[in-house]
Amino acid sequence: RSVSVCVPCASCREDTAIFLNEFHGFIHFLHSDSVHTIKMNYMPGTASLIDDIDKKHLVLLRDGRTLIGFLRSIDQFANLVFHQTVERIHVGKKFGDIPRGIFIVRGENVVLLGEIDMDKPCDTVLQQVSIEEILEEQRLQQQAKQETEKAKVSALKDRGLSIPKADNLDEY
Amino acid sequence: MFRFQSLDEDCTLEKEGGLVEEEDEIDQFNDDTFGDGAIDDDWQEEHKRLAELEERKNDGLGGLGLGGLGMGGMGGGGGDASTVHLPPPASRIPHPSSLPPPHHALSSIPPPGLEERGGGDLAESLAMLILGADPAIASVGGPAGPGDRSSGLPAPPSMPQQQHHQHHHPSQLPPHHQLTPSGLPPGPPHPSLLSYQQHQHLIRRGAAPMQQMNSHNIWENNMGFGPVSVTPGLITQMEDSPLMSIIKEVGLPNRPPPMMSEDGRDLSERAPPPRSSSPVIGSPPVRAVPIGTPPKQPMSHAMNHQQQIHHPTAVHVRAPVHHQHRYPPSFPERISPNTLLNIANSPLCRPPFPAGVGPVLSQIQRAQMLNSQVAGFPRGCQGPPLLPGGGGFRPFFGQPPPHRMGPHPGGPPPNHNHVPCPIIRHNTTHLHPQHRRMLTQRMQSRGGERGGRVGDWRSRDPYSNLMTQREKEWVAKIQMMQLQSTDPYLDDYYYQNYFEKMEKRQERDRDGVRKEHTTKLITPQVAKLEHIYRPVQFAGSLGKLTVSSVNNPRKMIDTVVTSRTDDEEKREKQVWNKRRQILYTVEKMYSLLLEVQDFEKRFMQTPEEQREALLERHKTHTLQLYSSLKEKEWDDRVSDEQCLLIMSVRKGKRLISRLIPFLPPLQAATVVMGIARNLPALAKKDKQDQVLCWLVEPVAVVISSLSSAVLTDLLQELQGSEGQLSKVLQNKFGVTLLYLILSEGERMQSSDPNCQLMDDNRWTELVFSVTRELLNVPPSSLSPPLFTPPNLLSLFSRYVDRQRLELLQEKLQISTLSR
Repeated sequence: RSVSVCVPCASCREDTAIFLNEFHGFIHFLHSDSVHTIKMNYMPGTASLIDDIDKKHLVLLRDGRTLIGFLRSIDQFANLVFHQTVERIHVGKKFGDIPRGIFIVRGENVVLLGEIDMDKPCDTVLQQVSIEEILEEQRLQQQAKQETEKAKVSALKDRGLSIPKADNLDEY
Repeated sequence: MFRFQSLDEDCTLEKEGGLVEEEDEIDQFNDDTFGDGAIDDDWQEEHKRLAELEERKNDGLGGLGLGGLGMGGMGGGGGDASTVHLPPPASRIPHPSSLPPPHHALSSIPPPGLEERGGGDLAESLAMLILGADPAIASVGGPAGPGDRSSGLPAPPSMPQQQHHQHHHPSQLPPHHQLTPSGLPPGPPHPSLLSYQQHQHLIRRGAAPMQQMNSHNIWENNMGFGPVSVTPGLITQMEDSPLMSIIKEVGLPNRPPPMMSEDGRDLSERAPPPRSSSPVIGSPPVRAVPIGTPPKQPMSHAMNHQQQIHHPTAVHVRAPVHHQHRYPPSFPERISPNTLLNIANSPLCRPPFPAGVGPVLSQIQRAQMLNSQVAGFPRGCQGPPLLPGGGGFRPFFGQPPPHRMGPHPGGPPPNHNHVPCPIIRHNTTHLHPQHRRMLTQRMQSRGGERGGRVGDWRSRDPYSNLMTQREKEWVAKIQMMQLQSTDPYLDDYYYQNYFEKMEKRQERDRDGVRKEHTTKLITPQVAKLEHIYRPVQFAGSLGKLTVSSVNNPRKMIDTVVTSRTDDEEKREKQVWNKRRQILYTVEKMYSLLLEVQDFEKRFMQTPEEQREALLERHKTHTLQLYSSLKEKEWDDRVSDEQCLLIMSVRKGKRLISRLIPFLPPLQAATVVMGIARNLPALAKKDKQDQVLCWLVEPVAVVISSLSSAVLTDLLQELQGSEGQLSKVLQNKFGVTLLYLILSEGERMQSSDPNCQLMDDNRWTELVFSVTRELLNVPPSSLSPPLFTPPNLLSLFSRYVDRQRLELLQEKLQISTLSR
């Protein structure tokens, strides 16, 4: 059933053997053990997320959340399916990870998306803390922000100015 | 509820002695190959041990909530080999598989929960186990080699591998088991026990902690022992009785009966409902399996039930071994799959998916996946073949090893880790030619530069290729389609400009060396195809026959855009506004009219005292009615305009016809005058409704009450302007009115010889003109009246001579006949 053929590998040009069975579409003769990673060029000359599939990514959402996960699936709207997602909360120099499982992100909510290079040495100054701690920190940060905001608004009010709340601006 | 495959009681632990010996052997073998801490999971051995444990526990021990093993927690997943024996004999609980080994050195942290455990031997042994546990050993492999067990245990021949999960009734276990076989590195059955219970506990508590641990595995380089700290806390709360009682009551989470998958049928291959596909865009490829099933290729189909998260897998992750040394020097037939996987898993050095992820994949599946890449494992394989004659594991690789030693197989596996080589020509028509050139250059230069490591981990990723090649191509196709443009300068101006500039720059640099580039290149323009959707229609059917789905939405409703200019819109609006106003007036008048009409009835009903009041009201109403017909400036006159407006509406005509009887005679006469005056206009407006004839009766009444002068006036009005009479004659109502007037005049004349009708020449003249008109008008345009008064002839006889009279008679007869 399987006939083996010796052909040059398309990537490194060294000989590799292939079995001529069950080929669909293109016939790419490559070393089987994935010696070569070919950058998949689904859409040459364009930016496409297809090449990013199954890689670890970091995505920043419009609501400010940072998610890290493996990009499993995309569609033409850049809706993303993340696997083994972790939500990373940063407060100051600390961060905390909350595992979230599977995330489906609607494309329009993505601010930026970038691949995480697993090999690159991670020399970050950030310090990881537990979830409870980071949530607490976040709460404090929010609180502090709200207080300053309140103070600002009241100060402006005293002077007769009123500035609309920034969180509503996005809707209009 | 779990279904348990009750094994023959024989198979339990008769050959214990022999097993122990062989365990040593195989243990040694393991150690030789992999160093200390090899794990073999043989569930039966495990089961033995755990049964013994259970005995002990039943003797003196309380809680078995031996959490500790953060190991178990770490594993998050399941292994598949070891059995955990759970307490009460009455309960039949399946054995979970062994734990996945954590990669980090868990052993250094004994789960605090352990200390709480009372009861002598068990706790001690457990503590010993845990303390001594090597991270790599954490999986609950039994010490003995599977081969021995398989030989020792006459499992039913047809029992597939999966059934190792089933356990036999604890009561069947012989009372004494060696808890820790000699020579066994403190590899734990107990951790698996713990882990299983912990699992159960966690299951009760919900998946969150589980998940947590799972995910934590992935980020293990960050998390350190985070998860460990979580689980012991959980476990310490675990008590034996509640959990056990729960398990007793509720049973453990469901698993599809293994018998079902015995024939290798993939449960996930139930066909999803058929989907329509769009001819233009196409649909995403129809999946044979419901969306959400993990990729087929790396897994055996028959093993799918193992994918459930409740099932801890034992994936043994070893230190990286060169992947060429996949096989032990000697390849004994009865090598445990675990061993094989250990071999095969060696490149799992630093995967993003540490074994903890493996809840979905068992070792066997992994090995199979690897094998498939190595040996061109046919994709449609049914998974590990059934293991005849042995309860233990057999090498499941479909192809015998020698085959693998042959030419290094390199066929690209059906899962699409391998990608088209750069030589493949992509469809780059949408790109600027300069861009295209650059791309090809780039790709060629990159041809030999690829690194291999990324592909490695990708291929080991159990969740990889959730998005199949077809789906990727589908998305790419859609995106390519979006790139097509008929006017590139409009759609992507900066892109075009950039490449043009680049071209120019290159030309400048080369200074005309390559003349061919100076020729102007025209980017290919894709013709914009008008995809007009024509719904499928069968002859003779009603409506549109379309199946529409999310992927190919269909137009079901035709929305026609009527673009009107602003002026037109204004006019239309005005017209409509006016009409609305008229209707409003009519409505109001109607209400008054109805009250007036009902007056009589009410009058009779009300008692004497109130009659006056009612009368007053009645008068008011009538006045109101009348006033509404008037224009505001003219106090006494019935406004023509108003009347006309009202009459332009069908409702209004009806209203007037009902109203006239209630009006005071003068006003009534005025109204009728108005009607007569504007008859042509009214007739024109009435073309659609044809309800002018409602007015005949009341008008007739009015006419009969008219004085001669007024009558003459009326006739004059009717004839008003030039050509009006002819128009009048064309209208039924007009003719009828005319006849009415004439007959009234005749009646006047005949009844009262002294009537003033003849005093004024007007009447005569008018009649003359009428007769003239009547004679001149072609018969076709003479509209038949509602009725012809009989005395018309006598009227005419007064004024016309015999000839004309006869003609008139004919005409009238015609009209009477044709009524």
